[in-house]
Amino acid sequence: MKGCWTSLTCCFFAIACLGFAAPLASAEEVGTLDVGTNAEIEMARAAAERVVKIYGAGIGAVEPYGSGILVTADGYVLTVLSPMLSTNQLRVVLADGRRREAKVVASDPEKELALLHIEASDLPCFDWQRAASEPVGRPGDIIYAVANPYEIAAGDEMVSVQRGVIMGLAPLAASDDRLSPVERTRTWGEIYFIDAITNNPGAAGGALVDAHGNLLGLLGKEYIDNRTRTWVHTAQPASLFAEFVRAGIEGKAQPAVATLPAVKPKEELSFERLDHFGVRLLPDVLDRTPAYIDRVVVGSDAAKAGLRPDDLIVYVDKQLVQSVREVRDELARSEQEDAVELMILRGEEMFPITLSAADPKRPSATKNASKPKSSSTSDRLRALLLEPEDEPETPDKLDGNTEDSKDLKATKGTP
Amino acid sequence: MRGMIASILMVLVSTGIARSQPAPTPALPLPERLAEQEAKRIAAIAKAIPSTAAIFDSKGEGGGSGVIVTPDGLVLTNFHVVASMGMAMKVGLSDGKLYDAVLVGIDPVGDVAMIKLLGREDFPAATLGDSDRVRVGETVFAAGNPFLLAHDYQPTITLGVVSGVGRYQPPAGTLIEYTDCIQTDAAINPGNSGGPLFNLRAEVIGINGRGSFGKRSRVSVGIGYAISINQVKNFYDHLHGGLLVDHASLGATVTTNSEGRVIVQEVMRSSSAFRLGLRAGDEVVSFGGRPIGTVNQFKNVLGIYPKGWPVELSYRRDEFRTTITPRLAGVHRDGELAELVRGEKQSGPPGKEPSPDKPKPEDTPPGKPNDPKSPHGPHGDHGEKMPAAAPAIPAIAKPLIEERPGYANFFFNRIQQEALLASLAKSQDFSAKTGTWKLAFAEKDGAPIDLRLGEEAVAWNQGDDLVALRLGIDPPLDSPEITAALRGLDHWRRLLIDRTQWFSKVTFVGGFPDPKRGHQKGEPLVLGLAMERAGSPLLWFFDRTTRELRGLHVEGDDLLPDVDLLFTDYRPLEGGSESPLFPHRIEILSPGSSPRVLTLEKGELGP
Repeated sequence: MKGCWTSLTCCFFAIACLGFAAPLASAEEVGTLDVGTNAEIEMARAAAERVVKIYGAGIGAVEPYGSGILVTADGYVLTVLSPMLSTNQLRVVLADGRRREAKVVASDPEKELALLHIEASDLPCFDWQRAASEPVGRPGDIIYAVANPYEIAAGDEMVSVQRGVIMGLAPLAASDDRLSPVERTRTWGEIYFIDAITNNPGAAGGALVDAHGNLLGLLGKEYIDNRTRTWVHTAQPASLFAEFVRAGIEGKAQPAVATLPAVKPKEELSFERLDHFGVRLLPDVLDRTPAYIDRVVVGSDAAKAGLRPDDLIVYVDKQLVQSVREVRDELARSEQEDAVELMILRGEEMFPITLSAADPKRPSATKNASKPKSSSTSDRLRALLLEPEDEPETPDKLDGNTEDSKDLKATKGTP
Repeated sequence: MRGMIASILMVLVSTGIARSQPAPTPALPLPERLAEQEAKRIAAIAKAIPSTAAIFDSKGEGGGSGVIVTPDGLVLTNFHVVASMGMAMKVGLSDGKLYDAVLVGIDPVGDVAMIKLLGREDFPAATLGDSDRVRVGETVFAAGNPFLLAHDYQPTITLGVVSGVGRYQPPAGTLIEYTDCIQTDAAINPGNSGGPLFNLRAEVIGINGRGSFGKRSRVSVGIGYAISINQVKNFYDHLHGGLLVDHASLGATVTTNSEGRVIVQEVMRSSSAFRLGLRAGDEVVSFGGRPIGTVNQFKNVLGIYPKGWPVELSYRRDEFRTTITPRLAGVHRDGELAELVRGEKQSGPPGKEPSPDKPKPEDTPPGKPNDPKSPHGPHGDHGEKMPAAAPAIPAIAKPLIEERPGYANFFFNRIQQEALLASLAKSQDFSAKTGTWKLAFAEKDGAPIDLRLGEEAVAWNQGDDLVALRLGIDPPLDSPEITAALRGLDHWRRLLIDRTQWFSKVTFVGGFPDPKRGHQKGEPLVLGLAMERAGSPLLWFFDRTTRELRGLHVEGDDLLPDVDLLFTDYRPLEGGSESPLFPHRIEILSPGSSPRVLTLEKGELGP
């Protein structure tokens, strides 16, 4: 019920293809596929290394997780556009378990694409240019869907691999009748319809690969035919997203995604938090200013906890921080208001220090370690929907709404 | 409901289209390799089909699937399939016949159950594979009775690939936790529960039982989970012994730190791990022979072991790495599991036709149409169909059913106990030797040992060391290892003299790894018989095939360490070729001390 509830006129098309088109695949071609062999197992592993897990904002019925594919060795990730991405807490987890902060560098609401970037190098990636220049897969070809539905895999656990065939290629002529009076008609060109069941939460943005592990396309969002209640399983061919990826990597695309207005105030607030404990960091003058403590206020909580000038902060709330900015970002995302857990490097020595608010007058200091989930969700929700602070919007109220309608609202709100 | 009918119609329609197409060209020749692969697949499926079972409750209201694993009719299935069936059920096989079956053992946390088919000794049994060798991308197939649609009991086959291995699926409102399980895109639907997942060699690699669902109610969305068969193997003897099996707990909690390391948060002081030195802050490096990098990996290891197993754990503190072999405690307190199981049993018949018009939360076991949020409460719509009186037990099943609290079916426990004790009585009858046993041992690099095991006292005399215990009196504490060993040897002498006089609470407790080597994958297990003597719990080990007494484990306490005595080199005592077999090699294992190997030089057993 979380998907794009769209009427899908081509649905029967796709099903018909199964009957008509399957015999067209040439026998020789099929014969090169070693189904169920070591080659297939190696292929699955290699493809899974090029798929990432994405964690973003969970709003109402939208899952806060998804999948993406690595398109460059230096950290560009292609995925589908989703409200989940509209957060300053976007994270990408690589196949080997490394976690990276991600930024949306380009988005295309028409094609429902987003390009993310993470700081990394020498990553295994899909050859999207080759994929875009080669002929598309044909009905009957064996395909694999490689993605992280239901966020089954965590950390360095391997994402899920499913097998199927291409049922057909057809245009997705979808109209979002729930969004009336506006009717959007997508004219993307032909996309893949597959029989592997990929229409699951979190699978969109994963890879569609052929039996040799070569990229064919990007797994699509959840589409249902409103009349037949049939879900279809789709993927955008590489030729469709190639231009977007190229422009994004070259920095020519507009970062048109709905951004978060709430980022700024929260940042200020986070520094206030550190200030409150009596810690002053080095002024953030460099690109990556090391997070050294510049000053510790005499008699402050920080002084009592044993912090000293020239201590280097290496972790904040168990997250590695490599600059003053990252300290600030980490504090901004921390849900604990009354305590901060720091890992300090002093000379050769590394040790943890927890700063907790001793001052009972501090209004936001609560005894509970973490804020109630609902309020943080509604904060994020408000941020996403660009609603004024005083409007009592709750996630419950939105449960009946659709992902797309939220998407649209967010898009509308962006100047 | 309408949704499902619609989708079924859709499938029918589309197959209809495909079939009605006149072939446009002559049949395409199948490439040789493909033809070969297909032939192999067909052969594997043909081999797998006879061992696949369709399980129904006695009233014909619910059901699931299973797989036959021995010719005398032992069948593996899911706990949630048989949970509400009572002690007897019906099983249909591909020969078209319906057999009676009784409940044997259950593992409610692991969602596994064993039942026994009656009436034949030559049932077609499947071969069990090695699920640790299953790899993502491998072709697999599920066999079972989805939607309970086969009225002739012919299993339905669904083909797919392994989508993931080592998956952890937490409990979803019930007891049931899937650890180290296999994820597949072979369709797993309601009714498939308990059925086998096969590889292309027709070896059982898992027991299907769960799926991620969601918007499409409880119909496969290409994400099903099978319990790894290697986990089931660890519990096999427990299940066969009529037990209600508990899973294991280390007695410690772990968490991942910022560097992605798994750190011990807290350790219970009463746990074996604590006694062996594990403390909060230690980093878990490996567990059960697997490297540990996430909490899920830790849980995956813990979940595959039964309560009471010794499992090797390596931890790092400062720069030092230490390896210990703690004996795992149970997850539940005594009686607690039985109570929870009663709750599950009341929650209605499983495996009925799903009701797709009522969406269920994801991750419910597919054979179980109940709301997992209230698994213990009586269920309105099912409650009416569940009369308080159990269905009549067929005459053929009655002799194989003994209900007793804390057991799934005590009959099978009793059978196992009797078999082990009868074997002991046959090969090691020392009932006439009630006097003091004088045993002279040699020990490599040590002085000879003069061991006396008497009715009132026991003594260990080695060089200048003399440890003597008056039984029933507090032991001296300067040599706790020898004291613990002496107590164990006293238990052993009495077991060989009379198996009933001094011992109580006898229970067959299933399979255990070899006490000397710890758990080594693929190694045969030993069978455990638990007893109590004067309040102290003892665990005897027997060879799984010869039923020879192999060892004794005595749990330590605040004063004495754990001790394992191992008995090997069985032959008649010198000068009495007619005498019963006596072990000529005794090993004493105690954590923290190096193992001692005692070789019998001379033995005199006083009459």
